[in-house]
Amino acid sequence: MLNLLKKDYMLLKRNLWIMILYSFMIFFVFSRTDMKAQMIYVMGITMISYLLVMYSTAYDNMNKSDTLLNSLPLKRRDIVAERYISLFVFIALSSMLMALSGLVMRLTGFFPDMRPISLFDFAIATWSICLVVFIYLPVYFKVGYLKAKLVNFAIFFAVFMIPTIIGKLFIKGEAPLWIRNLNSATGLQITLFMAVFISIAGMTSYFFSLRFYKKREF
Amino acid sequence: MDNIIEVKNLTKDYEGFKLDDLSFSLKKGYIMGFIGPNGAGKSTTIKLIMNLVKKDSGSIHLFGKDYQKHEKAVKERIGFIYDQNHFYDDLQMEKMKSVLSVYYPTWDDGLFYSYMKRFGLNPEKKIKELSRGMQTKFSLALALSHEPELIIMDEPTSGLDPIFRSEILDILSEVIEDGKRSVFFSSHITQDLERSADYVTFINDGKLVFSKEKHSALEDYAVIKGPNDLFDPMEKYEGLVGFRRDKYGFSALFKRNEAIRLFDGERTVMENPNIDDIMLYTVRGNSNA
Repeated sequence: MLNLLKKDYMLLKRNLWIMILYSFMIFFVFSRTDMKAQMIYVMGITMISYLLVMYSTAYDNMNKSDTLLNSLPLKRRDIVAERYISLFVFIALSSMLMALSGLVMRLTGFFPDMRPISLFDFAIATWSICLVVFIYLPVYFKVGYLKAKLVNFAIFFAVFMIPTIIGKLFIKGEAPLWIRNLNSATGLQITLFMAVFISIAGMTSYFFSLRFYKKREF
Repeated sequence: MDNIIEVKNLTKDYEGFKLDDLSFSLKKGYIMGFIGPNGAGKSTTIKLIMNLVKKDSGSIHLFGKDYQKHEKAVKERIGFIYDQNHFYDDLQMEKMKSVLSVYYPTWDDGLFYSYMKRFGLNPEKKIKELSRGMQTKFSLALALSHEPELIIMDEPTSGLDPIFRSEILDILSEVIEDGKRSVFFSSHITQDLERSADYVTFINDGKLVFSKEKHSALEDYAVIKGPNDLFDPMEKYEGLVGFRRDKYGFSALFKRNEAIRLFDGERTVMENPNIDDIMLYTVRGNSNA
């Protein structure tokens, strides 16, 4: 399975520069909005992770690699599991990128008042991207990248809308109680909430992905 | 365990096409050519063997084991080459090798580089920079570098020039020299089979026509040529596979024993068919020009 991650890294390597660029660009794009302080890190992590997931699945589609991968002495469940594991690698990577670019923005004086990334940013971003990818992957494993693109369209908007809506609700003070509780929760509580949510949603999504992919024909 | 491949009553039903009750086997140390016209079901059969598509019924055993129950173990012993490129275009051959090699416990890097050298391939080159022939050479280098006991190839020679086709066939013959390996390859280029195959499995419209030793297949049939008055196209001759007829005369493919019984040699000529003839008469059936 690690080897599949290595394969994704090899394929995505050249896109990493674009991701670094995005992580800086996002500060300028949202610099004039009230979103900057509240949700900039969440938006950045969500967007970059989402793009990495899309790129990696697109590469496999472009090269018709399902035929290759399924001809290898490799179990279908490993191919499916790798996609889920890579999501968390992408989240970690994009969080580091955003933390770094936020720091650079503050130190270079472009945005001297930029706050550092927080656990809350990481939690909301992880929650958002997991929600989106956990819906996308079963569709991708059932019908393949091309057909799943239609679903992507809806997902694409959701990716940007979910953090935005949550952020706006915060600003207006209308966020649901559980989200507000999350904001005032301790690190341990946030971690626990994230772990429970991601575990249940992730396992359900993985179950469907595996079920669909085992039946796929190439 | 003599049979490397054993397919029994294999059936796969698609809308508009059915692979119907296919059975054949391949022994260790031999090359089997898998022939049939386009759309006969050759690629479907190979995909079924590789578990890329799911069978409706029947059984497939590879190395004496059920191919689905022991999928990982049997695939470690198979080298595959497909008619299309399924590698990552943007990767260098070297990188592609490093992605694939880890899955094979018997992978031999030295062997891989010796094939790359022999085929004149630069490992630093990206896959998208390779011609069709070079891609096939690269596939072959990958397929052979883990010393597989079975090599499965889907139309490996299609779209290649005669020199490279010949080179591939030479390598295949070399590969099975030690008697430990077998090759199963589909092709519609029958000259390639004539040259290299020990066994021929012929399918048409999803059904098995025959699966037998090549020489025996050729000996089983005869082409009869003669004037039209000796051949009645309306008659249902025993052992007739197919015929062609024009104003100059007829030529027909018969089962050899029936041909001998029906035609005494006066004003007719009996010729040995090649694989092309057998395929052509079987697929076309009867035709009047």
